Amino acid sequence: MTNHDLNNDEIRRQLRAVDRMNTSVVPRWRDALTRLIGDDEFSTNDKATILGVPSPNRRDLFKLGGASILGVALLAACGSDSSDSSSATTPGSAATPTTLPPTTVAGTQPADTTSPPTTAANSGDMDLVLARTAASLEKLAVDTYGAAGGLITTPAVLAAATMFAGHHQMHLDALNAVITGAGGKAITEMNQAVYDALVKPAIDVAKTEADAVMLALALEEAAAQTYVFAGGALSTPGLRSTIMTIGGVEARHAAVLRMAALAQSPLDVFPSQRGFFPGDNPLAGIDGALLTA
Amino acid sequence: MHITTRHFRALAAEVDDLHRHNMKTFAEETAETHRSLYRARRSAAGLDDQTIAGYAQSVELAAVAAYTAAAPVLSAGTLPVAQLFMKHHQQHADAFGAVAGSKAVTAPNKTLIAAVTPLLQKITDEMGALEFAFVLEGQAAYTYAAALTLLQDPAYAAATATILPIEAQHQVVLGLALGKDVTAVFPTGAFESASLGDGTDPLKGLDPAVFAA
Repeated sequence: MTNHDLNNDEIRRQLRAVDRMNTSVVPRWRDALTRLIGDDEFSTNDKATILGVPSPNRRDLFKLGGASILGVALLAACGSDSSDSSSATTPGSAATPTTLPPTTVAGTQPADTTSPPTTAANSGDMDLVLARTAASLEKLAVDTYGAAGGLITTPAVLAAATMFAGHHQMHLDALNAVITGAGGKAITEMNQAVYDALVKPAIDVAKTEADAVMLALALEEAAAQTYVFAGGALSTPGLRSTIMTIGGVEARHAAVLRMAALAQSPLDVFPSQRGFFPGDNPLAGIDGALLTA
Repeated sequence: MHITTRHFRALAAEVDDLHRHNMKTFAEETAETHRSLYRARRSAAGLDDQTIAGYAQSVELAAVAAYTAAAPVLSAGTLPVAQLFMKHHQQHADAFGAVAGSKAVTAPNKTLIAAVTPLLQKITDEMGALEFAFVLEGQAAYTYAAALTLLQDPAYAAATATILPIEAQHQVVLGLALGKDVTAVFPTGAFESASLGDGTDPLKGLDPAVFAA
């Protein structure tokens, strides 16, 4: 066929036909997709099979090409699936951290609480990163309470610090259970980047109990904020709840330190009278603070 | 009529533009589908995100009402703290209401109000009011830990995560004001409870199945 064999009107008719077909098919395809993705009886692997794409884990993503990307992105965007229930803390159950599914990652910023939620789901890639980072912060807290404890002389404050260090050890153990359950290696070292950036400079100049308590307060508030950030960034409801059962306790630590150890007023517990705990990532400006390896 | 190569290329470009436009529209529609899926997908407890937000709003409004009812017995030193907490609860109610869509409410949770009214009527002094609020704040924090197990949309979870620690800190402040020891302001130990109950257990959140507005 040569160029001159093509009839202009015929081509236009063909184009209109293609357009009609496209217009009619896309909504039906979308409806089918909604039924598929919205059906919790299908696992992610099932959905991947039906869509004809690899299951969305990182290794498989590197193998993808062309058309498969849309399907995988769709699965990733829909995030949680029936497998989530295995990690979710169900109402009425004890609030002990549960085992993470062997996924990895997240990455959305917590939404402004007054804005309609529109955040897309996370792929789960950040889950292990956040769990490892949180564990390293817990280890840092344990070590810092140990190092700064020598400056604390008031018995009641020392008792509180000892109790808080115990809480952090329990948090570390719980997070390590999550990490190892996901196939990762347990965290045994403190977060070196945060230590270098925030803790060491403060410890080097700390001379009084108040100095030690101020350092502890800074750590507790940073930890709580990290958990609030994770509470909006983790990929499944179960994980988000689990992490906030820890985050709430870190916030309690901070309140106790302000009132009982620093003799601040109740109003000082809520800087600027804030009614919402900050949810932006407090580690964003510290190179190496997020443990990605 | 026949077509030249130039016309053919122009038509091909037209098809390409059409395709690109449709794919863009498709992407936008798919994104909206995702969002609607998150909002409408029912959790294991049969509650969608907007319903949970509406429930949380009703609980927050009940907290505002409770603080208002208890305010007359508070001292001048305590009242500003209670007023701040009441303001926080109103802010939380507004935040939940803003995302609850058709499930937004305009009044405090009636069932919860009915449950706490006898308790409020027995309060005769500041200590009684603080003790009442101490329990309520803990239950609010635990309610949100439980809600996070249900919320499907990460944005709803993110918003809830910013509120839970504030309720927990309210409870600490009240506990220390009551003279409780430090251990007592961690009623469920090193982890917040994510359990739900009928309101009689201070260590469990407020079950929406019990307190359906």
